[in-house]
Amino acid sequence: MTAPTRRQFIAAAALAMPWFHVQAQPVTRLRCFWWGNPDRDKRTRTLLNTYGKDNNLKISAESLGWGEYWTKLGTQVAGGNAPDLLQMDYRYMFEYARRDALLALDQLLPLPEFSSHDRDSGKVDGKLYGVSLGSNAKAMVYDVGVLQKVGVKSIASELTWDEFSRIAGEISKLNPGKYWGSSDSSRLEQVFEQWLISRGKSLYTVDGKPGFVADDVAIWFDMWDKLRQAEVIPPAHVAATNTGRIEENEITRGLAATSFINSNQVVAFQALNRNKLAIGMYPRVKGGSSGQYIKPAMMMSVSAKSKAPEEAARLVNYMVTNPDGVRLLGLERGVPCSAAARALLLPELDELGKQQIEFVVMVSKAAVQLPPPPPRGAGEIENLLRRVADSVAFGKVSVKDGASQFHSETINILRRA
Amino acid sequence: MIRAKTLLTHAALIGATFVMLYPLLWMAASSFKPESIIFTDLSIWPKRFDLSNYLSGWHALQESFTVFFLNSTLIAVLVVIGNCLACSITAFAFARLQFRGRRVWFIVMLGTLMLPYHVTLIPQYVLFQQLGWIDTFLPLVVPKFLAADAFFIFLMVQFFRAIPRELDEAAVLDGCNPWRIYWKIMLPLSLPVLATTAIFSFLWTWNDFLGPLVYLNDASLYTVPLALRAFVDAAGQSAWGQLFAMSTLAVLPIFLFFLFFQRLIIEGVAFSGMKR
Amino acid sequence: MNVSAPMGPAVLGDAHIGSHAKRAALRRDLVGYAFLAPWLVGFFVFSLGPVLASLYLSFTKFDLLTPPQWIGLDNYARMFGSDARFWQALKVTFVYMILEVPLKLCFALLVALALDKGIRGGSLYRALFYVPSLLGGSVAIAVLWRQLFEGNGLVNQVLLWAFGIRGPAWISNPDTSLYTLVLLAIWQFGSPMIIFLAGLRQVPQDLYEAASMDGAGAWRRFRKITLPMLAPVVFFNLVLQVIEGFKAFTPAFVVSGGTGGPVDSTLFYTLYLYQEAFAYFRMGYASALAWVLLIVIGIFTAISFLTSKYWVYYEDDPR
Repeated sequence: MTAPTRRQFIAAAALAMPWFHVQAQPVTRLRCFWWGNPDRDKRTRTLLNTYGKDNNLKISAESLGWGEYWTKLGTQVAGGNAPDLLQMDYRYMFEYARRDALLALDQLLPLPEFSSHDRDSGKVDGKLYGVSLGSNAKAMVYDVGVLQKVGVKSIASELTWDEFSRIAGEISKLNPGKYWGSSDSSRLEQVFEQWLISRGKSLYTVDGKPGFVADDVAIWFDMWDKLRQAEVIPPAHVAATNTGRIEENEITRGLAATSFINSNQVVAFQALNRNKLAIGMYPRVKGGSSGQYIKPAMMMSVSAKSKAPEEAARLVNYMVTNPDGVRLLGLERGVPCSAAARALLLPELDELGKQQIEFVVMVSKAAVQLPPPPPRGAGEIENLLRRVADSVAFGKVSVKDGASQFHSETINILRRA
Repeated sequence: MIRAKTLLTHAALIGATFVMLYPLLWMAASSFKPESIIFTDLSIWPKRFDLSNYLSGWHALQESFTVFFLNSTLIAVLVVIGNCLACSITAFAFARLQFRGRRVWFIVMLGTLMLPYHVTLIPQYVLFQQLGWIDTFLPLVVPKFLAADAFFIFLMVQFFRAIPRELDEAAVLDGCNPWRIYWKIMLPLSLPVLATTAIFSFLWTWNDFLGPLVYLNDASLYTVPLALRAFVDAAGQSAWGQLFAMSTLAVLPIFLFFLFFQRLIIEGVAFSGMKR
Repeated sequence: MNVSAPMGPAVLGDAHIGSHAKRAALRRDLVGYAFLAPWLVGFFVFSLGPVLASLYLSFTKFDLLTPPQWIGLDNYARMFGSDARFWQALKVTFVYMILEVPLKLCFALLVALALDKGIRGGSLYRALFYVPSLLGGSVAIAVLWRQLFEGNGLVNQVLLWAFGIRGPAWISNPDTSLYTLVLLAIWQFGSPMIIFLAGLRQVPQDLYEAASMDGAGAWRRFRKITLPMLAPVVFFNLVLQVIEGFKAFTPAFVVSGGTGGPVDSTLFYTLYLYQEAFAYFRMGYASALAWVLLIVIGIFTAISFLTSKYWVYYEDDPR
């Protein structure tokens, strides 16, 4: 065997070069975890793939459905195995941030493109923990055709609850017993909150106590009880199957003409409905404020234990400010906070998409301040309202008893949490 | 001559079958319907047979369903083997062997059946994480080879106890050691219960959702039930048509597995007095 | 049919009996533990640690995200003293079980008997009856179940058309919602049915032949031969269905959307546990709930085992 020739040596060195090259630059790994659906998953994965290739990162893209997401995330965090980027929900963000599971992002992400309102909405106790991936606002979705039948062309932005009841009553007369003007919202915390704010109260105070008294609840339950008696809203046994899912909603089931949702859900609703849908603002209390505010539909946070926080933060920034990133994610997670991003998307949107952006802009003009953050136990209280409201609807407790029950239970839950 | 009784029995069975299967028929029918009417239309005969949900659903997620079906099958088959081997050995010990502490261990074994899954979930997750087994199939498969499924141990114990001891004693007189008794006598006589174990193992592993949820991170490792959940977003836009299409397809492998193995329950045992 | 005492060193002389007996006993123990080894390893490595950890957690306040804090018996005190939902969950689970276990087993046995007779197409029916059990925690089935049992769902439409009865909104009325879940459980009777079929296959044919030659009718044959021979299998199915009934989770979770509603009427115990653990960040309390459940199940199982002496007959019993 002769000694290797120079040519052979150079050839061998050339072959070995890539190996050395890779060794010299270790690839950072990032894990990104979110909840979604096939459309969102595809968009997000494309974004992560492109970004990963361009920035020499290995990004592991993990996604699940909403219910399973929190179980798995809780397990992973408890096991010390949290992903670097985690999608967050407004309420859960407070729980996670207050328990030191999230990284404070103020230094890494100044976010000059966001309005201070949008930045603040991701703050817990003054520090930024979540970057809003898109805003939404409470929206009343309605069947355009049915409303036209009773002479309503569109929902006025200063509609009062009384007018709303009147319109719903007219609709109910069209097909009594089978179709109603409105879904039963006595059990929905988000509508209750808006109503309270519109009256000048709030769901929670800054120090985590209820911002309402039992009498408020009684008026609320009574309002809906009267609508139920007048058969403007479906009876208890029809309404109770709605546990908050789109497919359980009365509009989807073809039972009501209006329902109370979030603005970014209208796309999902339209997909399941043959009739044309549109969105408008919630009704307000006469003489009161709109009761509505812009809130993050969902946010992206970084784990406090992430091994590559700067990289993670840079990726989050890409998602919300980089034109390619914004275009990839689209309107799917809500209306982007940065005005530049909105302008970028507007020309390519379909009608529903444009409606969403216009709606969010409209609400922001009439919006109230962001309410105090939900305290611990808020999730339980949301379930409590549904339970008690259903009790009242089924006639198991009186309006007055139900109201005081809800109020005292709320105090218990808050105290215990 | 067809007796009235037979006719009646058949009529009852056919009626019962239709009622039993209506939900499945609805699910299959829905997979052919456009999404906008799925929640308002209860009929099981769609107006048109639209295969688009199947085609798009197969590739809708990050990996195609080929990957998910393969993963599910691999895990399920391994679990079947593990359960049949390990649980029968353990059941043999409890049912046929005498040793100190047998009763205590039996009670402990039964005890492991009674704890709800969600509570040992976190400690087990931590354990597997220390072992470095997260994001692999190992947490789902290895415990089965160590007889983790007390259900099957208990099932087999009950079946073994129904087999007369004379067989064992004849074998002992012939000079057989316990292993041979197990391998040459008990197992062959236990085809019905082994087939039952195989069917249930396959079915439950196939439908198992919580284990894969927690232990598998990378989508290329997902099993079918886990993948199916990705179609439904409670607050956003779900892909119902595709969900129903893929759910219908997901039932097929387990149905076929069942069809094949159930014959073993019936063909059963070739032994005088027990032959059919 | 009866069994004599296991063979021992009775043939040896007195002087050797002591040490031989001891050695034989040791050998028996070794063989026993050799066969038990896989399970023992699995138990100690994968079960014991997590189980003990969950016991420890039941005495702590653990919110998943920060380390557990010891609080002694507080969880248990709260459970029995001031937690109305705990009692509701117990009640719902008990009612569910008392209804579904006997009904499910009866259906399973009946159908198994019918199919065991060798009807034409029996294997096809068997497979088809098993299909519902295949559908498990399917989201699609949950959706369908809601649609079937709604106020104007298919069930009520059929009731109206066939009998002129106006049924209630089964699934959304708190008074009737649990029954829809019982029905869902019974619908999936395929599993105990298969076990019964396997058990029926083990009954020796010649017993039946002898009995009918003696003039015994079908009912007598059933009572005197089938039932006693099937007793171990019935016992097994009973114990397992009770345990599974207590641990039932998926039906309630998918059908009620994880809420246990309406008005907590379908709040299965494990669903309540799951809410406490993962929705409300109270894993310590959930662990305490789990241990209470374990004790309750243990009591029921123990009762079943103790009473089984009176009605279960094993082939290998020296009785």
